[in-house]
This record gives sequence, structure tokens and C-alpha cells, in this order.
Amino acid sequence: MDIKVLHKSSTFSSFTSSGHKIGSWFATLGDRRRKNSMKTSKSLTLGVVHENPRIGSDGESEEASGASDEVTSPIKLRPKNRRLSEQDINKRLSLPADLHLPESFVAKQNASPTIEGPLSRASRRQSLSEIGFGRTETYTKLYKLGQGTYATVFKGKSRLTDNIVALKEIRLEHEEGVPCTGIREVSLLKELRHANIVTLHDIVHTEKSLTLVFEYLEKDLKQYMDDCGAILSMNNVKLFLFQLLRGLAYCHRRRILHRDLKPQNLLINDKGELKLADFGLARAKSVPTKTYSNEVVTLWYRPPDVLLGSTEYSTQIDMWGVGCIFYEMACGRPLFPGSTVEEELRLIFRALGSPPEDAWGGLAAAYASQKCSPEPLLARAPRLDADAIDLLSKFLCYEAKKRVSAADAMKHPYFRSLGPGVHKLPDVMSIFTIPGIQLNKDPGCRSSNFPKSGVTGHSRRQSMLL
Amino acid sequence: MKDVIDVMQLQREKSRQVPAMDYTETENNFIAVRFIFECGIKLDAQPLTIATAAVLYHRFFKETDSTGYDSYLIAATALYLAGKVKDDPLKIRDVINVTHNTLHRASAPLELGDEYWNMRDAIVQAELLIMRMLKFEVTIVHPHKYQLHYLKSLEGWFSKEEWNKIPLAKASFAFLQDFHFDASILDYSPQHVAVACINLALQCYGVQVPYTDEGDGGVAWYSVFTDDLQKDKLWEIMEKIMEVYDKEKDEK
Repeated sequence: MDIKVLHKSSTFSSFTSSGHKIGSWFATLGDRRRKNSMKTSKSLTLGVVHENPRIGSDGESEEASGASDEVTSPIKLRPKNRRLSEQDINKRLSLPADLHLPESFVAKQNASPTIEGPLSRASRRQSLSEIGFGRTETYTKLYKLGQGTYATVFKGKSRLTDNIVALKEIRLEHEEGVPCTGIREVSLLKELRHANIVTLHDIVHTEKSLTLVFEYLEKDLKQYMDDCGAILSMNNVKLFLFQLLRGLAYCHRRRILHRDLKPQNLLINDKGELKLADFGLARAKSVPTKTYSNEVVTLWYRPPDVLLGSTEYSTQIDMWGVGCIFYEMACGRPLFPGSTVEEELRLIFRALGSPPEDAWGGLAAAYASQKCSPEPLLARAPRLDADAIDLLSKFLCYEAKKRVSAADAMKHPYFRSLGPGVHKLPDVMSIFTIPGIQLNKDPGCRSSNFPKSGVTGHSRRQSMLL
Repeated sequence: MKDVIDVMQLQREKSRQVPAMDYTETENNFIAVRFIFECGIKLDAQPLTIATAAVLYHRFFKETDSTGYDSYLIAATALYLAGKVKDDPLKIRDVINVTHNTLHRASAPLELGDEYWNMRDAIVQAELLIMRMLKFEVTIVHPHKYQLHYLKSLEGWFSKEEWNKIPLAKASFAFLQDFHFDASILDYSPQHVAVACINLALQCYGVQVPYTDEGDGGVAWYSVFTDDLQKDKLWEIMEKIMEVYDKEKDEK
């Protein structure tokens, strides 16, 4: 309820009308801050997808949530002293059944006469906050999964549901406030609800950090490929590619670009559901080449136009990476593993042939010093059939405008074997709800207990969500 | 060249006569958005960044009442946050210097002392406050792109001379920018706002395009762009846009 505290303390009172100088006003603010530190250790639940898709966002103002709605219904249907069970409360607040409500909360709900009245959004929000949504105490950090450009990701556990979650902790740079990427990731992810996009469950905001609580998926695609010795069943390749395209088509339909597709950003659970993660760079104008820790960001999945510095907005920018990932899944090795921009471009031109001379304003000519003729893709990827090769070549097209869109790629004959049902699914339904669609055992998979392969190797993940 | 009246020069002089606004005299949302625009232009921010800041500002005060917060702090923070949202980063030091100097016209830039640090902390904290008030939903769909598209389509109905003679595009974008001064911009869909701005410009210059007046079956020139805009709604938005100019008069 910190916002309320902040509000009532009139910290942000007018300085102009009272004729104070801005400096003295800010000085007062500074003093106040030192005294109560803005009490930002607790945070309100903001309308995110809780661990139950039925809860929508609630659009109640902070103002209203402060003035608790004492709505007492004039009609009493049940005797007041009836003890409420946890189930009643769960049902009332549309919470998932596996939620553990704190005893104090249940007691309070029983004491409160408002329980029979209609539930306003403000009071539900207040209840959610009392239960523990949006609070830092609710989530236990287990161990660090990785560190990225602007955030650290932990594996964690929700005390409410005992579910494993991924906690992405964004450091609040004292210099410049919340990083740009963090702001965009939160605001974009809040709009996206799709079976192939990682779900944001909760946002916890403290004085020093902003933590995004995500659903936890066992592996990323890179790890998945490593675990099965880089030999995937071709059926699985098709399923992963289709899900990647499905998530991407949903983003592109909303004019959201991912811009940083790579196997490390594609999360996979033990059912084989693939989800897009890390929207930190989505729609950013520039793609960084160094991370926070000064590690070089991988260039392997970047289209030549981006490598040459293009900052044009286009959904086709993501499609090149899809092609590279497709190849990598099918062949077990990255398509263009360059370590510098120059090497990356050289590898691309060697495989796909020199670009047309006037391409990218003649910029490419500097890198394509010697003429290369295209190498047939089939020679590099013998496991791909004719349809797959055709689709791959449509992703790896020099001219961005000619690259196939995610929505069109889903209709490519390569996916015909999945049946017509996959195109009619509602956004939030997984393709594995369709009978007959299931993961095969990967030929290179070392672990014998195949369906539970997700249990091993969790400590090796380096790059989840980063 | 002695007897020639230089219209451009006159206009320049005229615009110079508008005195610099003293923001410390009165404080209300209208003036605070003016402050956003003035500071945004001084900071060389993109027009969409400034529009985002104005919308964030209005949305913040829609969530709460305006008496509890200092509107200039929220205005400055909205600008700073808009820069991040729109990927048009503004440096916090620039934001502080520009807003401070705009509020206190003659004063020197702030020293790197307590006053400056307090101001920076205030903006950083207010940024999180705004984000949480708006439930982290800070991505905004603007009318601008729709308006550009509609104008491009309308252009086909004009001859080149006509199009160059009548500043339709300029006027409608001026209306759109000015409409950001009023919180009622939040009440309408971006497509509808775009149509209203263009229609107002058409009315101002007395331009008749095919289907200016609703003809058979309620078809109007904009029906092809948005099929859910009724005439009453359109005129309501146009009136709201015109009211902005009355408000400006009230301020003076």
C-alpha cells in the first residue's frame, strides 16, 4: 500500500502554487525519502496474468483501493458466522485451486462482513495484495540461472502455489531509473497472451529492483539440443518450428517485433511446448553487440541487413533468425557461427552466394570481396526434405521484403502433415491439445526415461530469458 | 525590395511577440501539457515521444486526482519515461536542466549538489509511480500513423496544385498535436481522432471531398477507414478539439 502512503504524505505537493522554490521542494522530498524510503518494499498487484488465466487486469485506481469499499449488501443470504473455507475464497477471487492462502488472510476474510457483498475490483486487488501477489516475500529465490544485459534470472518458488517460477530481476540503475528495455518488456508482455509466448504472472517492485515473475520452463532450445546430442527427431523439429512461427505470427499481427530470436530465447517444457521469451529488445531501434558484462552477443541469427546497421522496422527482420534456427534444429549445428560482423557476413555470402551489387546501398560489396556462388542448401542439410528446403530458402532471403511472413510460413506445405486443426486453435491453446500431435523420442537423447528428460541438466542453463 | 511586405518576416515577428509562459503562476493540466511540449521541443524529442508524454500525463491524472501530486514533476517524468517507451532516450540530466530552466527562466543550470540529486531521485521515483499507476501499460497507439495513411489516401482526390495550396496535412496535424492538451483524447480511438482532425481541417478550408456530406446509406469519406464512426461521434470529437482553443484563451 505504499502508493497510498506516498500519496497521503503529500510528498508530491505543489511547489509552484505555494511559491516555494523547486529546490526546497525537492529537498523536502529528499528528506522524506530518507525517512521512510518510500516504503517500496511491498508492492501492489498490478493487473497481470496470475497463475490462472481467468483473472484479467483490474483497472481500479490507487485512490479507490485506498478508500476500502465498504459495500455491505442489504440482502443477507447466509448467516454471517458461516466459516469460509479456502475454497470459497479461491472461488470468489478466481484464484487457482492449488493456491495456499495465508491463515491470517482466511481469518480476516471470515471476520469481514463485506464478504457477502459484491466484490469490487479495488477490493479484489487489495485482497490479492494481502494474499501475497506482487510482494517480494511471496517468492523464494532458489538459485541463479543466468545473467544478461540488464537483468539476472533466478529459479524461484511461489509460496502461494508451490509452483516453480522464473524470477527476472531488473536492476534499477540509480543513474537513469528503470532501463528502457525493462519498460518495454513489461508493457509489451502485458498485452501478449498466447500459448507460445511465456506468461508473465506477477510484477514485484521494490526500491532496488523490478522483478518479473514468469512461468518456469525447464529448458531452452539450446539446452534441449545439447541434451539430445544435437540430433532431434524431424517430427519434433517440425513441431518446434511451427510453434515458433505461431508465437511470432501472433506478435507480428500486433506489430511487435522480437528482434533477438535465438535458441536461448526459446523455452521448452517437458510436453514440448515452445514459448518465446525475452522481449527486452522487442521493437528497439538498435540491437546491442555487447552485454552488461561486456560479453559479445551472438550474431549468428542476425540478418545481413541488421548486421550492416539497418534500423528499419519490419516484421521480416525476425524471419531470418527463424531460418537459422530451423537449420540448426535439423542439422545439429549453427548455420552461420561467425564471431565478428565481418566473419558472419562472409559465412552468409559463402553459403548463399554474393548479394546483388546494389543490395543495401552497396554496403555489402565491401564485405563480399570475392564472388561466391550459392551452395545448394540440400548439400548442407541432407535431413531436410524438398518442402523443408523450400521453406528454409524462403526464410533466408537477402531481400527483407521477400522473406516469407510467419503467418504465411505456417501455411507452407511442409506443415501439411500437422493437419488443418492447428490453424483453427484459439490463441491460448497449445498445439498439443490436438489429438495425434505429440513429441517423439529424439534419436540422440541420452536419458532413458524420455518423457521426464526435463528433470536433468537444470543447472547448466546459462541464458534463459536473457 | 523596400516596398515589399515580407509576410514571413511578419510572421516571425508575430510569433516572437508571444511572451514566454510563466509556469509558476498557475498550475493546471492544460498548462502542464504546454510545459511538456515546450520542454520536449527544447530537448529535441521526436513528436511521437512528446505525444506519448502527454498521453501518459493525462492517463496518470485520470487514475488519481490532481491535487496530490506536483504536475510539473509528473510532466517532467512523463517526458523522461516517454523517451524510454519510444526508444528515443532522453538523458535525465538534460531533462532536469531543461525543465528546471523552463520553470525558472532566468536561473543558471543546477549545480551537481543536493538540489540536483534530490530532483533526480524524485524523477526516478515518480517514473516507477507512474508505471505502477498505469499498471505498466505504457505502450500507446497513436492517431498519427492512421492520420498519415488517411491523408495519403485523400491526396489522390486532389490535383497537385490544390494539394500544395491548401495546408490540409499541416492543419490536421496541428489539430492533432493541440488535441493532446486535453485529457479527452483518451476517450476516443486513435482512428476516430485521426478522422476528426482531418475533417476539421477540411471544414476550416471549406474543402469538399466526395462524400463530405453523408450521402446514401450513411457513407462518408471516412467510412472506408473506420466503419464504426457515427456522425454524432465525429462532431463530438471535433467540438472537443475546438474547445482546446477556448481553453487557451481562458488561460490568457
